[in-house]
Amino acid sequence: MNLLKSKIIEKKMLTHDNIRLVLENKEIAGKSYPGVFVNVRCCHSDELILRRPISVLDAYEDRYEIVFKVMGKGTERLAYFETGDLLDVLGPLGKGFTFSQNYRKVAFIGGGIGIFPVVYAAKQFHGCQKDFFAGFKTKEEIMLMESLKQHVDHLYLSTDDGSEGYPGFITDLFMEKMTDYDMVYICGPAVMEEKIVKTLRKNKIKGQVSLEERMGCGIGACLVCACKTSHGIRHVCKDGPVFDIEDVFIEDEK
Amino acid sequence: MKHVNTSVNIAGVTFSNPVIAASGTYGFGREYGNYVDLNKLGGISVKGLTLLPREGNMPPRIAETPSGMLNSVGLENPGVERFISDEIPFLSQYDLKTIVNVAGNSIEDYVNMTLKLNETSVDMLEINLSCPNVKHGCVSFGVSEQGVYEVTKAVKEVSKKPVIIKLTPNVTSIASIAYKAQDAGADGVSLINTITGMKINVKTRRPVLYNNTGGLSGPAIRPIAVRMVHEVYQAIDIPIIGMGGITCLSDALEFIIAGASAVMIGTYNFMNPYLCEQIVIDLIDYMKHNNIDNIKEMVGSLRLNG
Ligand SMILES: Cc1cc2nc3c(=O)[nH]c(=O)nc-3n(C[C@H](O)[C@H](O)[C@H](O)COP(=O)(O)OP(=O)(O)OC[C@H]3O[C@@H](n4cnc5c(N)ncnc54)[C@H](O)[C@@H]3O)c2cc1C
Ligand SMILES: Cc1cc2nc3c(=O)[nH]c(=O)nc-3n(C[C@H](O)[C@H](O)[C@H](O)COP(=O)(O)O)c2cc1C
Ligand code: FES
Repeated sequence: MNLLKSKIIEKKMLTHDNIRLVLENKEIAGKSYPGVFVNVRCCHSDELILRRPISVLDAYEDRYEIVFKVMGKGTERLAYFETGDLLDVLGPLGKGFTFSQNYRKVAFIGGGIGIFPVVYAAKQFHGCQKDFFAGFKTKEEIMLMESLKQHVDHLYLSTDDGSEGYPGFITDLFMEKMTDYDMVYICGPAVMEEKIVKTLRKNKIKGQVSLEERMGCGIGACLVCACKTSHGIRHVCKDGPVFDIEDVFIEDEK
Repeated sequence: MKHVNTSVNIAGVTFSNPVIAASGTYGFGREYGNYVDLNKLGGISVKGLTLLPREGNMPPRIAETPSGMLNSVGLENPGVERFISDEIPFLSQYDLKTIVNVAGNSIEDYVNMTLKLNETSVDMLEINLSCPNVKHGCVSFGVSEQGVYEVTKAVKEVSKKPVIIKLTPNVTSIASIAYKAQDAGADGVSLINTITGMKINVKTRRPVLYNNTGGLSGPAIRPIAVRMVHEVYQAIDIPIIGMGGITCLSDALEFIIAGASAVMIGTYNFMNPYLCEQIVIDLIDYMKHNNIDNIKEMVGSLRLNG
């Protein structure tokens, strides 16, 4: 079962509770692209029997990176692993973001732990104007923005408490700056995603949104990660996590 | 190299080995086919089917609990007709035996589905009298001796396929229920389905699952499941397929020693997608090392204390 082993090459705290891991696994690195995720075993005993889905933040050669926020039991255990340890990781899984060379102007919107897949997309997709909108709770939680700057044309930042950048929600800042984008890439808390998706649809702007749902198998077999779409029930782990904004958040909008 | 016989015969169906993927955890085999060689498994019990397609319950449908998980999928499935047209051709390419998990709202549903499946190449029906996540049918039959008797009898009357009954652990005496299934003509029983449970989010004072309650599965339920297989083995003569929290060969052997002719592997596939095939490999090794020529020697080989 060597396939599942990823070696921790580097471990770094990005904020007080966000940890970045550089991992080595040729197969996962080779198949990763923006928007896909990996399913990580967080503890070797059987107390926790579910893997945890974490987005791929970057991939190159035989390495890939993830960032995880310590939220509960699983990510707490994951934080104990150190450089040199082998992690049991399944992936990459799911369908990610797509890009076209015909786009002239695109936007990326990320909120909280949702910024990782869009940061990857902003680094990977090029040949057009790129505006990045990043929302954080507070100044102390801002991460990855320094290295992102060189990859984007405009970087808009907000904090809910106003400690840095635009004071308030990133959704509001986006509404102010929104122009005729060819594509908008979104990942963040569900409330944020819903608001952006509905605004974009109203303005006939295209978009792709990465959804979050609790998972079991992560590969499309157990059906626990269901979401309602305009094509019927779909499964976030297999049909997503990235969906066309035309297809999701469709309740009470008929 | 010595040859060992891992094959088991259940109600006239020969499985190449006693390792079967459990219903609802393995879809229709397609996804896990990327990880294991499906030809190596004894069989698969497919996702529970209903007469008409079902969307299932609202999310969240899953909550993790100590060494286990609750699910409230609510039998999301494409319906028996689409299973027949879309999934049987896929599964027929493989050597493994196909067991169809049949879930109904009423006795007529069970009978109608059986009639449709009679005309297909599937190997066996597993009558689901134990899904705890739907409002009607299923477990409401499975918790009463009379309900189990009536559904089993009605299905057996029309079925051209061997019929096993999947039992719920949410009863006072699973052995008496199993006996009723045998009495009504069942060719075998499978147990256990999930145990009803609830997890509460203390902050919101709401259940974590949208459906409020769900079915507990995984290692947490294994001792209960093993005890139940042991009780049922003493009560009936027809074959038993045992399951509940199997994570490795040793867990599977517990069920076999307690009296199961075969085992089903469910939740732990999520942690280890290679698990079913791994258990088959480990079983062959184990038999060689322990001079067991035929797996049948182990079935019900339990020696009680005292
Ligand atoms: C496609 C996808 C990509 C993700 N990418 C990242 C990422 O890059 N970085 C990151 O920090 N987090 C990411 N998450 C969220 C991450 O999976 C959860 O924070 C994590 O599972 C919490 O586990 P825990 O045991 O620490 O918390 P607990 O709250 O103890 O978790 C208990 C159970 O609930 C599930 N769960 C809890 N919160 C969530 C949630 N928000 N989403 C899904 N399942 C949840 C867990 O998987 C677990 O089964 C992603 C989620 C999804 C679905
Ligand atoms: C997500 C999920 C879905 C399930 N769906 C079904 C089903 O459709 N029909 C059924 O008979 N059992 C279903 N089960 C029960 C399993 O087949 C099995 O009886 C139970 O989970 C115990 O085994 P385990 O601990 O190895 O998972 C489901 C279990 C899970 C976890
Ligand atoms: S997590 Fe199992 S189907 Fe998506």
